[in-house]
Amino acid sequence: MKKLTVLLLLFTFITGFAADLVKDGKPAGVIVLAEKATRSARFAAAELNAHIEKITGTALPVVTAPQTGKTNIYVGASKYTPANKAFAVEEYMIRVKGNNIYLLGCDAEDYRSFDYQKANTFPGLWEKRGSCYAVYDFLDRLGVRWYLPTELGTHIVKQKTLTVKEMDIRRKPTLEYRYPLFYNLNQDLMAETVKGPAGKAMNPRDFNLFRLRWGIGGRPLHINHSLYSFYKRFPHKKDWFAKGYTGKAPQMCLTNDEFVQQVIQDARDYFDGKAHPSVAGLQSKGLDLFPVFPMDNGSWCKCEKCQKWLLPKATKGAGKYSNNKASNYIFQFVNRVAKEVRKTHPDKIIGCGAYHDFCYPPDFKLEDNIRVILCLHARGVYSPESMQNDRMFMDEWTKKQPQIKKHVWLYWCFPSLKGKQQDVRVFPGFFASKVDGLFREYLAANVQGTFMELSYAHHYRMFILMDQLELYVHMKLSMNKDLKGEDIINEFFKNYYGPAEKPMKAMYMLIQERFTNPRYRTKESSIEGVSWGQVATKDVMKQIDVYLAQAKKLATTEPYKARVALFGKGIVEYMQKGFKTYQNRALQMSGSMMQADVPYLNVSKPGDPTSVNWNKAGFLKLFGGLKAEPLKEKLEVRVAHDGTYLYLSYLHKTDTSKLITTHPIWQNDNWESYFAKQQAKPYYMFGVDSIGGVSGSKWLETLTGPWNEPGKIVQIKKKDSWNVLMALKLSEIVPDGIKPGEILYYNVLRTNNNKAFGCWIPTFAGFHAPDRFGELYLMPEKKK
Amino acid sequence: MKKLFTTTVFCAAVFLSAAEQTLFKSDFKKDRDLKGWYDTHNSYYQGTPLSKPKSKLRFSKVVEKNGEFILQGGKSHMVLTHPLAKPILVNDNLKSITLKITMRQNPKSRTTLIEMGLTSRLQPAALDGSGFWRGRDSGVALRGYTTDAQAPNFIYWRKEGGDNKKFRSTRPYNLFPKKTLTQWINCSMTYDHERKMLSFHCEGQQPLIYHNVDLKGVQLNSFFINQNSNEYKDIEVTCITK
Repeated sequence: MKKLTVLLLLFTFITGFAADLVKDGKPAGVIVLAEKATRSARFAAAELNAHIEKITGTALPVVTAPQTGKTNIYVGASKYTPANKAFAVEEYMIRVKGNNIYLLGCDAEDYRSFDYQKANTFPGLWEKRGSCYAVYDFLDRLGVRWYLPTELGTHIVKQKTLTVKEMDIRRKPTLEYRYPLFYNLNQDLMAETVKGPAGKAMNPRDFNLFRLRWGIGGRPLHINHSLYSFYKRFPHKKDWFAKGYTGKAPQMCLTNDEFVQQVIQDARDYFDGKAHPSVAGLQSKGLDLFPVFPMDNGSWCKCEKCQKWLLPKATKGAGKYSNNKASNYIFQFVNRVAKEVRKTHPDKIIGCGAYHDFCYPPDFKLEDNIRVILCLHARGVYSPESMQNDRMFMDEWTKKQPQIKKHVWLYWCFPSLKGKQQDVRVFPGFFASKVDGLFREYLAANVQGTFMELSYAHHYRMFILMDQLELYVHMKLSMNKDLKGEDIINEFFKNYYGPAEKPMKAMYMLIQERFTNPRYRTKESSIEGVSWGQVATKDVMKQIDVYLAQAKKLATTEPYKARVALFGKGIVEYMQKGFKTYQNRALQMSGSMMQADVPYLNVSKPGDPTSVNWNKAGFLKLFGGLKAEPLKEKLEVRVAHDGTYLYLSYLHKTDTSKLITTHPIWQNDNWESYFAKQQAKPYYMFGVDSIGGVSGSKWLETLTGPWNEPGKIVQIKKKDSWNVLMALKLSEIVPDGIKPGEILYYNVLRTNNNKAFGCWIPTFAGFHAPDRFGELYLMPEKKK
Repeated sequence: MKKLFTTTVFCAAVFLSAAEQTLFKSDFKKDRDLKGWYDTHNSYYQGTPLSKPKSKLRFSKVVEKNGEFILQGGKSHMVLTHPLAKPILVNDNLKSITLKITMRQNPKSRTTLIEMGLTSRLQPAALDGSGFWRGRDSGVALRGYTTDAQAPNFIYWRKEGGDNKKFRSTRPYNLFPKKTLTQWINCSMTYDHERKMLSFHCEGQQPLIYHNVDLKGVQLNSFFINQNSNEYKDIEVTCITK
């Protein structure tokens, strides 16, 4: 007996003391809440008790004073615990000592009513809720996991006795800003990128519980495009807007002193509580950050003062979407605002993006009250060039502007966003195995927060199954960087799929390998073409079916059976539909590729499209939409050349008073023309609207360079017709020019509001589809 | 003298190196049963190819008119096929392959399209009786008639199911002259593999040429013509190899 006592003591010494929460199905502890507990603490206590009940079948009594002989679980600050003020923002503690368990942290002083059944009484994502962090971390240590919203995604191990070892933890989440963008989800967790009826939206309680459990939120430091309010607030201040454009100016004049002073005043007023948050596109008052981030386009002001700041060509990231062409320009403006605001509000932050042609840092040192959000193509892991460029500009920010704290904006929205825009299904972009490595790179670059554009679906829903494991890994690391991505993934398959772990993991890894490995992307194509004509093959689809069948056979009990079925319906069936639709689409597409002769004409005034005898020009047979719809509008496209110029006539017989003219070119009624020497990049394109606006770009490997003066353009607008006549130099419309007897790859689209209702070659994808350019044969001059 | 010698040697070299072969030559006087021809009805039963096609075409037949023996297409939009004497693989050895036809269109069928082509198929597609199975097969072909409209008149080539079409870009758009409704007209379609061109010539019409055509790797097994009560006097397929 003595021996046994010694052994027990020794065992206790080695393993540490364990506090009982539930013993043999009976409560061994109580939850102690302050009489006046914060909303965060009451919510956290409810969550704790609900999960203890799920695990043991027994809920614990909730009391306001500790009880002797019981394990007292203190949730939130009370007179028995450290005070709320003792915690820094976002900080929390978990202490298990003897019979006392402390779960609390920095909570908002919010004492409004709380009802566990009502989502609108839960703490907000951007409220201080340290006690919630403490409880969720504690539950995680008890083996609870939330892999998806709703009960289906909750993993617990049922047991009659629940004990917890001594521990003493005081910490903050790794990132202070954690914001994966969720518009909403469907209750059944399904989603589609192809239009169809809207599913039933997730009830707010499940939706909020999920977001709170995953730790979404933190310190509200939102950075997004912020200057759009100027259109409504100051329409009369013409000088404040970008010069050199017809119609609505696409940007502000970022060197206009009056405009800059207004932005500075807006920031000060906002911080002082005088300005409405909407002046900067914000939704809340009282935040510590004011964004100063231009509109979402690269059409910069053409005034001399602004142009001086812009590089003629990008010198960093040249040939890439993310480069430095406008970096000095944008950041001189942001810096001016930051410098002035700091004088009156030294503890506040000015935020801006490092985006598109201002991704790289400027050449001058920035004020350290600026926070920058770096926009990264984080899901483009199949493109080593793109990833490398992202790394390069992130690295430059770290080295050249070390004083700047950063966020990252992660484009996890591709490929689903393209799928949604083009109304097609896409190969799932699984890449969970890469998330840990990328996350470490962000941390090394002094990143404090992540904003994530997740996979989009129709009806303002997110495609949660496309992001499930990736987001789970990312959020776990965002809360605790000491975890390892690989361990999280392995545990996920084991816990979530149980007996079906192996085939489900093998299936996921197969999809991930096909998505991430560049060797499966053999040629440039539409997102649908890449997805189902390259990344997916018949063999791959067959193997996925085999894995799913194996998993279904193994998962015979709940919840595993339902989880396998959900993946089967939400991902595998989606893929099968995508694959099949593409095969059928290939049939539709097959009849729409064309070649047309471009007659050689003698033009009396070469280069003047009004001097062409258009009756002798060639007509192109047009379609009524990008999916080969029949033509409904009265459109005509005529083509001719004289050996030096290509002449184009675009005619729309319509009531011209109804043409859209008040937006930027791409939303206005416009004609878009595309030119190349092959069915691939590089290609040049431009659009022309009915008020004389012309805007274009040269798409080299990935670079977007401007092409705003493609040639002579004449508009003939009558009451019932809009005719655009053009003369474009053959030597300039494609790299190295093109000559008679050669083939010019081309397409023309008639669009407005980002929709095409006329085209020569239907792309069955988006507007930019070089693999679907048709052939114009430039007929040689007839020998006399 | 030296020049003449050089010219002679050059011509001899050309004749020796380029060989023209006849892959099909019609003789409807001798072939009144249209042996070797397939239509959908004698080559398929409920969509399945018959191992032994029925002996006779269901509708088309050889008729004698004014002492001439002609193939008269049945009242059906479906095509007739006939295998080439041997399959022709499009590779660097092939210079060109030509389908020549002397035909006229029944005036009552003036609103229907004339079709002809060379295909990798052996028999008409059971699906819709055309010369290519939807989404499959390769070859060159045309559709057109005597009406001056752009959309219905085109030549095309396809590789594994994907059509590439060429319409005339200037008027007149019709591939066939009006006299096709009353007289015999000669037309030919040539795929020139060396020059990567598909051309269609029809007497009295401007030729239509498709540039940048590449059928490399395709095996052409038969030619096809459509019925629609059209009449065919002569059909010939030849190829030139190196």
